[in-house]
Amino acid sequence: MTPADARGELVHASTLLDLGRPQEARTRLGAVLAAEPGNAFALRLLARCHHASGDMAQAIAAARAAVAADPESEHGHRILANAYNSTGERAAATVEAREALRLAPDEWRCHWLLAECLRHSDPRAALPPAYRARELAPHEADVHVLYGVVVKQLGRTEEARAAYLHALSINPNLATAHNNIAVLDRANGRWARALAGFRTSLRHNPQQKLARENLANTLVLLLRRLCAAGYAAVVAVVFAAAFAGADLLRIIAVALTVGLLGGLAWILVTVRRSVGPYAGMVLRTDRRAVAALAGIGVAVLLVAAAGIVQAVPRHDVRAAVDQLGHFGHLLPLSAIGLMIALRSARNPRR
Amino acid sequence: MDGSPLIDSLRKAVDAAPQDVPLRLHLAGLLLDAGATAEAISHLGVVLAADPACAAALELMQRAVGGARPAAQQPAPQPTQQPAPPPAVAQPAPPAQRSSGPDLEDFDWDAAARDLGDIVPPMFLDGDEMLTEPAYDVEASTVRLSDVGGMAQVKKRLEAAFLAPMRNPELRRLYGKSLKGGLLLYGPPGCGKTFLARAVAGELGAAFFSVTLADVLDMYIGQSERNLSEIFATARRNAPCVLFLDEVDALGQKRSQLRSNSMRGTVNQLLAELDGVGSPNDGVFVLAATNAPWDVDVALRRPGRLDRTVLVLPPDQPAREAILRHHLKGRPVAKIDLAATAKRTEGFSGADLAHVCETAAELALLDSAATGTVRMIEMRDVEAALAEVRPSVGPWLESARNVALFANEAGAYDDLLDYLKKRKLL
Repeated sequence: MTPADARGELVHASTLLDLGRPQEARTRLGAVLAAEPGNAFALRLLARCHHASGDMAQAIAAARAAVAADPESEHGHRILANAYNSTGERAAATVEAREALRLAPDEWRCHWLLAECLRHSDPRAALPPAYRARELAPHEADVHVLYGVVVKQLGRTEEARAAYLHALSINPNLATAHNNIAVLDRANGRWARALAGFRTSLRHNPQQKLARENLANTLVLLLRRLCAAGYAAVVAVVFAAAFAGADLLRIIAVALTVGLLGGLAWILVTVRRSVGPYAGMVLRTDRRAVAALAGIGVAVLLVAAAGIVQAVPRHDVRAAVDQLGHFGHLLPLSAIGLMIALRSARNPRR
Repeated sequence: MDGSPLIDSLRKAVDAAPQDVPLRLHLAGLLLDAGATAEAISHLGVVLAADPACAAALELMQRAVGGARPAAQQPAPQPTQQPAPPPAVAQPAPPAQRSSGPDLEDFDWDAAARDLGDIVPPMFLDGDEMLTEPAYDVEASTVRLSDVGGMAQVKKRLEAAFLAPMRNPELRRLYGKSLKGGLLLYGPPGCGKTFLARAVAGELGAAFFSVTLADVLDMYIGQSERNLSEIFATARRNAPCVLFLDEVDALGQKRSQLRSNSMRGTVNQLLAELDGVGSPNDGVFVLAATNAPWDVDVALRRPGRLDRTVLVLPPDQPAREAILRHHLKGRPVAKIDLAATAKRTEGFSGADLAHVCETAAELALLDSAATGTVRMIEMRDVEAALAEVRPSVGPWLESARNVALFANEAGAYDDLLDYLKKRKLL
């Protein structure tokens, strides 16, 4: 293979990788590497191909070989750091990212990568490289997203939102930025906006696993909160039964039942409108959602039963329930249910 | 030459008055006399570009290309200024004739044309004459839609969207139906998109011209665009022709996803060619196929381009039977229950079914080799193969489901959504 042929193959391989065809690119690189096993450029491309195919062990091996062939190339260290980072080996990734930065201190990608490696363990340490990356490449949407992620980890949510919005002003189709803004909306209790945000993110990148999970988590969280409200309603009814008269108790029970059913309807309609058929899929297949729905069902039945008991003549059902001590025995049961529901209805950390 | 004050003065004069033809011709004559043929030719070229019939310029040009002056009349050339000697192939005449002067009639032009034909292209093309042999293979398709087993829905859609308007020009004119635009076939890999495209070409009685990424991609900047342009030019020359763009998600990937500018240029070129900007695409029917229509640039799917889509799904039961029959036809088989096998291969692609047949044959062969008795491929081999081979469309369905759920804008993937619902994958 002549040098011109090798160059041609490398250009082809690079284009194929860019087109999302890492396997075809690898075939072309194989021919080049058979002729020149120490070709650092080919090895770096090979590492990227393995990374794109999800074969991290091979990606690390190829990136190591590329670094050995050309230790002064920041690109090789960067690819190796990226591969380590993807496998969760943050310490090794950080070492390689620092080496890449030493070799190319003005390359924004090196600062970006170092911040990405550091943010998992030490967001405070990740802030300066994230900031520097933004200074060096203000036109790159990715640096603003990373900066937003780091400052959000430091609790500066408004600054994070501004960074994500800046990223979207550069690339309105950036799925990650839409997802991250939706996460902020969810934390602020803007459920409908959050659901719409996740949906937008998925529209731009339907294969994005994180946004799909966020969507399902948000739906489950809403149901769990309604479930907690249901058990709170049961506790309220049990307390009211001890003090309120029959008519007042019935009114309270009916109001709470209507409120719970209305809340459930609002969730289902909002989710359906925001998420479409995916909502039905989550409700059918996600065990957490099914459990939360079952919990809501039980709570509604308990509250409604209190209302029905007040509605029927005293001599049959009411008499039976009276033996329970005016719902007194239900109190510990409903209190435990409320505690479980409240515990599961907290905002997710991620 | 450089040392001649007259020529130097004339050069300056020509530079000052570039439109002065007699002056330029005079300079060219002096340059020829001085042996600076290359420079003389460049001046003569300028004159002939402005006036191709200029007799004086033509005469001087003939002198220049003929090597024209007797050696005795030429001044002794400087070593660094000597014009390049004419190539050996351009000197077929015997030295005795050459020494007699610039006699162009003695030059064997035919021999020179034969020798240089591969290097120097002809100046003009007459009519349909082609420069070289076509770089791309255009073939006649012998396959018809009736050769495609099953797939009634797809055939119906093809008929409505493409074939009926083509076959009925009067009705087409009556209803004002345009033939502009192409058809995008999409679906999981190995389900017969290419075969269907060939069948469409066969139905239309048109030539079939299949193009893949490898035919277009080139390492040099701008060459990929040129290749694409040449492909469309070839298709136009061979009209009526079905131009089939295989894996169009690679040729026309979303430009927002592309990092390299070279591929963006290719997508732009593809858009321009589909629009017929340079020359109209009369008689060129563009079909494209992809496994990932969601990766195709939206501009490619606008009206007038690849504006009609057909979902090609894994074969239905009659199609599976036909495919199994086709793949088992040339092999020694006995008592194969095709209907039962087809029923058990729901969700298998055509390629998967071929793999089942291949595996069954392999099992029978191994058994024959082990026992020393040659036997037929039987149903037990097919069943064993079915236990081994799994449908390969799973990953595609997973991606397709995400797209149908989240990116089905304007109902572009409604037919996919229906299929997923039907198979209870939603």
